[in-house]
Amino acid sequence: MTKLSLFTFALLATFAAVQAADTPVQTANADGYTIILKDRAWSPVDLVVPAGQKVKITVKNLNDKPAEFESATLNREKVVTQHGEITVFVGPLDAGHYSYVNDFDRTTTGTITAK
Amino acid sequence: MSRYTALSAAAFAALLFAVRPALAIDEIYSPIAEPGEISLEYNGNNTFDHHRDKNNIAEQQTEIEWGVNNFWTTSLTGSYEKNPDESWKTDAVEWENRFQFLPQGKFWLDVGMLATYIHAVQKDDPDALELKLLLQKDTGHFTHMLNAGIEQEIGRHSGPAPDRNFAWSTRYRWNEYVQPGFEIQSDFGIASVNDRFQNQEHYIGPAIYGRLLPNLKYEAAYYVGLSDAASNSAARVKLEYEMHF
Repeated sequence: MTKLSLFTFALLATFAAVQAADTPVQTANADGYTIILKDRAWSPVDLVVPAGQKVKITVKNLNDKPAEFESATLNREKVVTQHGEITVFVGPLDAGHYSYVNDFDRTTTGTITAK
Repeated sequence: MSRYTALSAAAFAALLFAVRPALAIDEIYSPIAEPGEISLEYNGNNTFDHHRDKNNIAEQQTEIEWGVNNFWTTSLTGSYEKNPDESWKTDAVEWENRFQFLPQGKFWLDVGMLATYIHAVQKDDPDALELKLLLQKDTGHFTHMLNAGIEQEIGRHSGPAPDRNFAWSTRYRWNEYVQPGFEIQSDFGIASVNDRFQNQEHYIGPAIYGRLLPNLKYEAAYYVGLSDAASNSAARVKLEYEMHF
């Protein structure tokens, strides 16, 4: 096999994987859910979402400092700029509690409960 | 940025050029970018075998990485290696670029690609270009990652065909400090040679991932060689210090 054909194969494999992945899973709520960080508190501090379904969560940071939405149990870690927002897709989740934290102020914790 | 952080970053950047792996074993890459994050990484691995020619083959890498945006992470890596009965030598400087193709978790699979230019430091060693397909899938409390790559030497003294490699990891996300799992690492060798399994390097073994301190992540794995060409065992460790700006 020539070098060119191998590189071509690698590129085609990548595009094939992207195509395979390109099937969005239906979200439980078309608009998704929202978590807001203000001062040193998340609101709601415990977000309840349906288990077994993909969930879209918008995380808004109303503070003057950046924050990082981080959850080891959800495998998510993303910076939210000051007065900015990010979108996080999680799940389908097993029923249970999933904790998260502002990694820049680790005393500011919250929970997502799937049931 | 504090003075301490600036001095640490400067010292680390200097290390980059003081110090490339050539083993089947490599870190396993996630396709996910972390925009706004700068991280300092150390990667090391070592083989263990009764045969001198497969024992104590080691490599170390120091790296500075920057999450440029939601889909691009770039890094500069200094590598050095040690072959059996030899001393450490500077091996290469690498420019890695990792691309995230899809928003994390939005689709069934997270997909990315790693493109690395490897500039050999030793005279007569060829430069190389490496491409890796990066896949990641979260299922329940587990995260699975697959890397499949080819590395083609380029320029003078380059080999005729690319080397092919594969890696798999599965981890149980127990908590942020301790996440047990396992890894498979394979080097199939040169693509133009239809080689036998026993002549390729294949390893499997337990791994552990997590966080030691708020900004310090770790990965460690211990492997058993599955094929004749592999060493009896090998180990890998990674430390990553994260900073945000």
